[in-house]
Amino acid sequence: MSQYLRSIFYISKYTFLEILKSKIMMNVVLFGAFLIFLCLVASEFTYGVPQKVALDIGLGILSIASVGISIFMGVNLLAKEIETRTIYMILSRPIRRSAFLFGKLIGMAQILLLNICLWGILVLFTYYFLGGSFQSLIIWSIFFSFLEALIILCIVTLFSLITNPTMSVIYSICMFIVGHATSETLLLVKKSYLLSKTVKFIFIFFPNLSKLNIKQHVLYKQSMSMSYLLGSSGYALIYILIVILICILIFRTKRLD
Amino acid sequence: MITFKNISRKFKNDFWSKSFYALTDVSFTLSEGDLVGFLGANGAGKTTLIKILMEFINPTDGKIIFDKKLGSNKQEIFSKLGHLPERPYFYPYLTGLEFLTYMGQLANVPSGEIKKQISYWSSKVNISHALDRKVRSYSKGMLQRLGLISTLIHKPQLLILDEPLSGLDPIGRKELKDIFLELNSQGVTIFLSSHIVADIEQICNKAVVLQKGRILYEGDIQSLLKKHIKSKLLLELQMPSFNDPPAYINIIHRQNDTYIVEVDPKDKNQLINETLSNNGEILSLNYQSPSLEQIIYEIGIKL
Repeated sequence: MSQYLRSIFYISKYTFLEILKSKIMMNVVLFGAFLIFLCLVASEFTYGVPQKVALDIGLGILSIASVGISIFMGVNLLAKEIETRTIYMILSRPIRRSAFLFGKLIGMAQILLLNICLWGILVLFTYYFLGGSFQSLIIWSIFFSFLEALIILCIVTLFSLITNPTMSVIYSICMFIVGHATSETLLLVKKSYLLSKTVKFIFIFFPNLSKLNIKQHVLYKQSMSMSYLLGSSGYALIYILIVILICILIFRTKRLD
Repeated sequence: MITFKNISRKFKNDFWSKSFYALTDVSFTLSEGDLVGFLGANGAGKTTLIKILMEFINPTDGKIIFDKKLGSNKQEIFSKLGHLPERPYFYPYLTGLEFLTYMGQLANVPSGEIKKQISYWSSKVNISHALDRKVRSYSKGMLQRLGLISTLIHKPQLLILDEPLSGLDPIGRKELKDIFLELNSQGVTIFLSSHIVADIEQICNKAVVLQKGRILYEGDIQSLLKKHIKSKLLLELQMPSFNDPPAYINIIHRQNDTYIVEVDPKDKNQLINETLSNNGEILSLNYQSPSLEQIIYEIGIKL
């Protein structure tokens, strides 16, 4: 393994370990218990299809909570490191700044994956407990929630490189909301050629998160083509890669004082 | 080993405010084997210069030239360099051992060697007992010691230490100063920043003094001290009846019948004779040698 990859591996390993040992993980477990409770309570308010309501509520909360954790982790990624000067200890080693950023992001992505897997299992458990049947689309939906949270993690990291933590959170939430409204907005403006082109151009920069929202299909057991699922995954991964590259370009010359 | 060439650094607090220079035209050389004290009051620009050296920030003007011996690129140079930032703080949920292992791994030290180094240095700085504890439970002094081990774990040839003695008790300060002297005797070049002049005077052979971002003095500490030894002598004497002091002495301090007087060396014998003939006693006799702190203070006022 090259020195560059080794640095990324060590940074991600200890980032993962540090967060795992922190109180965040305790909150994640508590939130998981709350999630089951909420799913069960919500299913009581319906007649005939409790498993569907439990799944709807469970997947929805899983998605929003993962984005919340992403924002929380991403905004602290650099700000806290600089504030506590831990970044100086790391960057005074023979490692590149890009390796530091990659390592940190991978470590956090591992935490996100762990959270989502844990919550996903709880949601599935509740769903089966209430009589639901297996569909592969549920797994895809959970996977898409992970990709969505990853996109937000990268976006909040990008904003934290160019602005203060409060503004980074606000901008990231705006990106999340706009990202989910992309498809609807394009439908609204499609009658006007100029407006539609302008909105399309602007939306190049915003993540089209509605591509990753397949909850309706899951709930109504609609089938989705593999090409759509792979295409959406590919879109998310390319978007993530581009944002990471921009982050690295900025971070390489960023003043760390 | 390292040459700082006309380093200047301009800062601006915000968009509307006027920019100011934290460093102006700073030039000096750090030679191999030196133990250099980097002195300056709080806000003099010491940490800014160290941040420029570590490439955390760029200089507005000037450049830093590393000796070819250290390497040709950043990775090579930094693998031979150990840096301890001011008031270091580490990942609070990792244990001391995990953190040190992490630092060793990032510096490409083989795992066996990491264990050996951790064991050696942790017993040397008396922190072995706390290595299994989470860093968040460490005191300020323990963090400083942990930071020092992480700086030394890859056996660097050059140490850049920013206020390494702050937050330590007197015993801890002594231990660390002894370590610096030991490392220096083994050939490690040390660049040590501090605002406590006495520490630098005790252990360093050279000093670089910074005031308001400019170099006030750069060079040998001993020659600076010798240059400022005063020609007058200080005598401490006891005189039961010293009612009419001679004109050639200057009484600096008096407590009951004990006097501290300043006298020209040529009048020394006369004063001693007079004191003894008046049933007095000479308690001490010294050349006035100001401390480095006093000298720096004087140089600063002259500028």
